Amino acid sequence: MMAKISRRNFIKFSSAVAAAAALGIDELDAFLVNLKLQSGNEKDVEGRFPGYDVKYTYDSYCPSECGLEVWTKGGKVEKIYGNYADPYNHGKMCGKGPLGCGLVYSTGRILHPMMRVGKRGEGKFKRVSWDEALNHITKKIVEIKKKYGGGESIIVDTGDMTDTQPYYRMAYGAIGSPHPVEHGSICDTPRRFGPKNFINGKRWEPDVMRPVLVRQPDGSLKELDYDSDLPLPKYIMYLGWNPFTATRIHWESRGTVSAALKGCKVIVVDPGMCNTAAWAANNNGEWVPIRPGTDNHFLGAILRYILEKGYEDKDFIAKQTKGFDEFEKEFKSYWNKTDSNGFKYFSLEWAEEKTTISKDKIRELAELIGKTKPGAVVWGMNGIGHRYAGYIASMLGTAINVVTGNFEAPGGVIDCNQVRISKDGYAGHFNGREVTRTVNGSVIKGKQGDLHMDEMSDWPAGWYDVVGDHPRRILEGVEIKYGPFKGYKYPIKARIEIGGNTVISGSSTWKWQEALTATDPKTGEYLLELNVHIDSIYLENSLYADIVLPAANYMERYGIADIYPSCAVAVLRDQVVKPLGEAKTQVEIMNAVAKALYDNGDKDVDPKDFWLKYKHDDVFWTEAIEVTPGVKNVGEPLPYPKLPKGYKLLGTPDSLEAGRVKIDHDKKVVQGEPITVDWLRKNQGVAVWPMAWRRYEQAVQSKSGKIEFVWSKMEHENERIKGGARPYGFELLEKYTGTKWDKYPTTFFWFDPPYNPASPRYSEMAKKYPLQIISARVHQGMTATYANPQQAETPSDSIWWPLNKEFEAEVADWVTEKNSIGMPQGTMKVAKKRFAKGTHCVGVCAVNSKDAESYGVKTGDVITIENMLGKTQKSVVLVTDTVRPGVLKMPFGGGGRFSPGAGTTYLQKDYTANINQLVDPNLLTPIFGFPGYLDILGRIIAVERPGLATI
Amino acid sequence: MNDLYEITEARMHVYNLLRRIYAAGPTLEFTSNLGNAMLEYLSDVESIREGSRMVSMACREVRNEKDLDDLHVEFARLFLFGKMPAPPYESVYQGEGGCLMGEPAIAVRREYLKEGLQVERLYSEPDDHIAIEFEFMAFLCNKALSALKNQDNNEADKLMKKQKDFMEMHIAKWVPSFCDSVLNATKGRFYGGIALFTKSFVIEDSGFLIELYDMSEVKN
Repeated sequence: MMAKISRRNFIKFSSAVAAAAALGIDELDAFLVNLKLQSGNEKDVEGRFPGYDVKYTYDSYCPSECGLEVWTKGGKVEKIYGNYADPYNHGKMCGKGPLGCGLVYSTGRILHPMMRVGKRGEGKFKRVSWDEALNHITKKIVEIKKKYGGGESIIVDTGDMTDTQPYYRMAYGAIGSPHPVEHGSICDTPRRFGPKNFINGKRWEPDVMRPVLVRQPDGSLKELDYDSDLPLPKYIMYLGWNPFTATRIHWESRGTVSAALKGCKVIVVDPGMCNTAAWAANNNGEWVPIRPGTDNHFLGAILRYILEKGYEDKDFIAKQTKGFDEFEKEFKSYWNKTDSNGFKYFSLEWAEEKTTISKDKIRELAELIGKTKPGAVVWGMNGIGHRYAGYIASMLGTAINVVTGNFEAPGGVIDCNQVRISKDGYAGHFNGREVTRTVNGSVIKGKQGDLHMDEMSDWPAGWYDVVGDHPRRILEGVEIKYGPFKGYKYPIKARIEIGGNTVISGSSTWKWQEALTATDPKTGEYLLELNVHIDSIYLENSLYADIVLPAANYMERYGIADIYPSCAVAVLRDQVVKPLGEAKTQVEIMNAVAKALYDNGDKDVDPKDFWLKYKHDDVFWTEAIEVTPGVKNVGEPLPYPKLPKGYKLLGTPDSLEAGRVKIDHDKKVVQGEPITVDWLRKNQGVAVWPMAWRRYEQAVQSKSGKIEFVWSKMEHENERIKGGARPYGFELLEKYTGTKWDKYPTTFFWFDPPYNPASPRYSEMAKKYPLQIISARVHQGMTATYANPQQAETPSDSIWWPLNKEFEAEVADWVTEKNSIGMPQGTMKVAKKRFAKGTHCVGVCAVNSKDAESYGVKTGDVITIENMLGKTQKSVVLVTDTVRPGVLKMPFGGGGRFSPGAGTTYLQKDYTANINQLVDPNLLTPIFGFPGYLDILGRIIAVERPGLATI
Repeated sequence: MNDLYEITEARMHVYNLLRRIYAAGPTLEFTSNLGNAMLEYLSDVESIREGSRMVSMACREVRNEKDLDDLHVEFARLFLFGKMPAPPYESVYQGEGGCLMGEPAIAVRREYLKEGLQVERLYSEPDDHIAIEFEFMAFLCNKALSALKNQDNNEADKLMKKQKDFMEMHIAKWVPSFCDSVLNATKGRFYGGIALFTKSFVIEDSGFLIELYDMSEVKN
């Protein structure tokens, strides 16, 4: 038979021995490596393919963290739905959630540990084993600790994931670093200034989350939705906040619409007509196109108007606040001063000149806010959170919500940080470990936390850590200026980053690149001796890493959601599928690093604090929620009328409801049955406790217990720095604004924003650089095109638009093929596709039509933008009147991406801008050290005409 | 032993070799032996010979750890990391959406189970990685060799048919496209040669198995 086969000679070998030797094996049949023999027979096959399994987790596609119900089969994700039990999104998802398989099963995943070959930035890696990677990392850490003092020379940046507690424990407890940091440091800290100082809070949002569980007069609990009688705001003013696109708080999207349907007026104050503004303008609301960086002036005028008219809620102020008189006095001390524009500070005319909003409009809005209850003034991440002077807007916004009596009122404003669950796992107690260091020849004892690179050094009030200053610290080192180790100096020698991408997002990109590749002139070695990146996708930070470790993706790991509901809600992230490739969960990585350090002789590590204790992720996360919910039994209606008022509540909703509790009257704690990961698993992943309003004893966590207009937190910082070094931020403040501080402000304060035409200091510069450059978020337009390039089919917010050059890429596309019986059948297949110009969204620069005319620019042109420091970026242009004149608006992270892992966005890097290349790296806000992302002046210096517009 | 035994043995070695090559980057010893082994493969198909020559020449140029690192970097770039230009998984080419762990991964899992096999790291390692599919083919070849040695022609026929089916339903459907991706993405002789060799071998083996099956049907 064989003789008749035409292909019988297509393969032979002359020596079996040589063939076997090539494989390094002696026995020809000893080859099963990836496959293992099973017991069982053919009948068992189908038994190994059971039906669907359902698990509950929460999304990670954007920071909104919507609750998910995920159906799996055969160990893989098959269907993704919203989790109805989670009131945060109540079963709903936007278009991103169902695309999760694209993230989980993307070919862009990091699946194996990788080690750099060649120079940082070249992107050349080879695969190594976990053991080899861990050995490399931990030997280096041990060496660094011995050579440079201790773990303080190592930064652990836990990035933008919110279930990061194991990495904190790894940092504090295993590495001995006093400063693990997290994404919040470069998220929006100026935005938090007001809530933090007034009530020790964080984020103020309108009371529009529904459904909520509310105690009824008859004692029952009822879930009330938008169709109930619960009050909703009569107005919401969003300043620089775009909930419809840059979703961070999912319920704000549907809540805003529902409130508007019941008559709420939605006003969006923004230099650009974002989606929320466009919707509001067409639904009885309006878009108020403010000059960038003048929210302070706008809110100052509104507050002045309210106080002058006597609209403030005096009763509320008297009962719930402290120090209002001093605040008001300081604020009013400006009223008779005249600014360089000839107008009195905070007058309507003054604000009109600064903001370019007419004084009539400002008056109209001030009347609305002053006289209408309930209502909410809300400020956002990019708009105020990313501005050097954002503190002031935050302070004024907070003040307005308080003086109008809207804070914690039904339908008013809620600090969603203060009323959500407590959770732990951060292991901060390790920072109390005693350490010794030699300072100027003397051996000094102190605590690990006394070596903090911000709080005990240049940023004493840097409560959120100062990631934006890390490049300078890598280049210059740290000197401790407060506390027992004052005078001690140490370098920054290692950085471990998890799930973040600071090269793109951590202030100025070029400064980060400079710091990560800077070398010692004597040795030629990198100043930062170790750079590790732990992630599930390969972005720009990976390019500069020495070791890349594969992290479990959101469907593969565990956690407890970091959402901001308006009451206590706990949501479990359960492991839906096993980690792909060699990826590991956070607890596994924590344990692996700790063990490797221990095996390499690091005496700081105690096995009982790591792998001996946390044998499984469930153990870690159950421990983290021992403190849950951790809110007090306060408010109207009282959540648990049968339990003592004012006591802290711990335990499951059902045990608290049934009274299966132990009460500790000394500690004022009600302990129900502890909530566990297992309990959450059995309850659709969610625990919900009752909503209430006027929860001042819970919401207000200031030192005095009152809403403070004179800030005890700032007073505390002034005590700390008394007689000591001048905080670095004060120098920058003086340099950039001319304002001199010798201590932190403890009540109302004011300074002009830098790089702003409204500020007299910059009026000359603004003549040469007349354009203000701002950014906004488009979540689908940032990195996710690596996983779901179809997201580039949806234009958004005038900054993500189909203005691409022609290109080729392998993407999944809908194809119709004939099936086995010859019928056409549609399916998604990967194929190399040619994208004609104008068919695929890219990050664009929105330019107002008046500016376009004066620069001779049309849609589809590629402009070169120069900033006030002479740095340039190119961007394709969209000419539009959805951005006000004098403004260039671009997406944050949506262009100039130079990692191939960034998907199709990477292919457009030459004509889309990375706005963070234009950020001044030295512009760090005076108190928190936050980068001045949106404080940029620029001009257009060149125009190319590739003709990318197709209409 | 007869021709069928010889050719099945050669095929088994090739699948085993390819399995090793696509599973991980090479070692110095491996490249040294591979260079020699490639010269031992004889074929009347020019593209298979060309692929062997390219690989053999590339192996001779690997003299030290630095040269080896270059191969590892290329391996990582092509198959492992950062939106790889040539993902070595059937689901990417045959499944929906170009993602990992698609229906093809489940389908091959079934085929492995029918032979009493399962991926070592089930649910973590995609079942349809090229190295695993080749390992399965090598396994089937090895079983056929045992049957032929024991003169159990019925069993040998069944196993050859299984190979044909697996080839038709899986390997032949995507591996040539995968190899084209590698050839487009690499300028190096090592992985370029491997891809050329693999593509040609798979096409020829597919044709061989079809012919063999047709003959046996005719014979029966």
